[in-house]
This record gives sequence, structure tokens and C-alpha cells, in this order.
Amino acid sequence: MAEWTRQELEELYPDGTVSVQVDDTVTVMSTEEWSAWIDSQVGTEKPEEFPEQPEVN
Amino acid sequence: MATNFPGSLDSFTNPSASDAMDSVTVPHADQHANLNDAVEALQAKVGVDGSAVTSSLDYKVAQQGLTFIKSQAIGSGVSSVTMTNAFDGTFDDYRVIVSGTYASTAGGQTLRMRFGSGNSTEYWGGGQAVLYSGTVNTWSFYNAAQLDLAYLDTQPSRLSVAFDVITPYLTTSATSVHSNGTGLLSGVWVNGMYAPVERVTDLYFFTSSGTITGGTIRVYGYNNG
Repeated sequence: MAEWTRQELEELYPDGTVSVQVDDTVTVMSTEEWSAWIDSQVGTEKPEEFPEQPEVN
Repeated sequence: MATNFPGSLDSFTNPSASDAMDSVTVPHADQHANLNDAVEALQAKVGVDGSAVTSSLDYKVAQQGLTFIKSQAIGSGVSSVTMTNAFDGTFDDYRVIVSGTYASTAGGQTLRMRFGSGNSTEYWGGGQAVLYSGTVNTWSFYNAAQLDLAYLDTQPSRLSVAFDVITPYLTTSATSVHSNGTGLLSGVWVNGMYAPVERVTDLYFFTSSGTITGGTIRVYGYNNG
């Protein structure tokens, strides 16, 4: 199964777009936190390819 | 007039400043009698503490099976969501429902949970994720960092996860989880536990990769009986 690369993750989740939520408080990650979060996901498996759902008439 | 409550609402005549104490149209004694009757009817309807009267509100509340505790709307593009103080000593067991959340970018990642972000070991359990195409994935959690509950879809979300949390606040037993989740193309069941025999109060959701957006977390308490 394919794994995430750092470049793919950075393109999907640019710096400044990822937050952490505690109750009603949503806090955008600092660049350092974001970089560590990206690092934690490099090498993890990509989602499985789900087959398209057949249309039901 | 005597009170009509609780059969119907009363409509009493209020005295005016110019009504005499011995008014024939607004008798003073009737004012007190009506108020007394209405208060007694209200007390009967509410019921005393531990009331055994089945028509009283106190009795009905005590018989209620589930009590709503709190809800939390999930923000946009969050890597994790913590709900603090989801559990306390009021109830032994709880029901948690997550609905309407979806993967912000890449669908198919796994929705995960812990009892607080820092409680990241000692999750044990097992389950199956059945893709509707027929593929069956077996999930096991052997001293894992979390329990996995469902696959996330991309928007629009069909995700819903409902799970029971057994004895999170008791210090005499571990905390068990019994979960069912469904998405666009998969159904997931997981049974497991957070093994430490200690109190947990928080819920912490995150994903195997990426972020989540939208949806609501709701927590209910089961009546201890």
C-alpha cells in the first residue's frame, strides 16, 4: 500500500491550515507544531482506494 | 374558583389597587384560596424528592433512560478534537454519538479516539471493517495508542459512529468501549478497552492521517437505575 510523502502532505495541508480543537477553542498550529504534525504522518499508509458505489435505479 | 391545574392552565382575576379588602367582585379570601390551591397542584405535579407517584415529574425524570450531557461542534480542518469533562461521577455508563464529520481532503482515513490526548497507551480490542464491496479488514488493538472507530468519507459525509463507554469514572474497573460506525462504503464494529483502572473524563478524536471538518459529538448518560 502507498505511503504519504512529506511533499504530498505539505501540498494537502499547507502551513496555517491545520488546527487543534479543545472544546469550543480552535487554535491554528504554529509552524513548528505543523512541521512536527507533518513529520508524524510521513510514511503512514494512504487511504484505501474505495470502489465507486454502483448506481441503484 | 379552584385551580384547574394540571388539567388546564388557570386564568385568575388579579386584584387592582382600588379593590377593597371586602370586595364582592374580587373576594380577598378567594385570592388566597386560589393561590394556595394552585401551589399545591404544582407541588403535586413536581413531586417530592424520590417520589413514587408515577404522574409526578420527579418520578418521570428518575425513570428516564438517557440524559443528554453535552455536545460539541467540530471545527474546520482540525487535526484533533478534545471534548473535556464528558464523563463524571453522575453516571456509570455513557453513550457517545459522532455524526456529520468528514475528511477535509483525502477520504478513507480512520477516525480514532482516546480518553484524553495524553492517554496514548493501553488500548486493547478488536473489530472488523467491512467494505461494502466485500473486503473484510480485521482490526486488532494490542496495547495500542488508540481505538479506531470508522472510515471517514470526503464531503458530503455519511459518517456516524455510536459507541457506549462503560465505567469511565469508576476506579474499580477499566473503561470499555463498544462501537459501531458506518460511512459511505464501509461498516465497522469495534469492542475494546482502555485498560488502566483509573478515572477518565475527556474524549479525544483524531485521524490516521489528515484532518477532519464539521459534524457534532454528543454525549449522553445512562440512568444507573
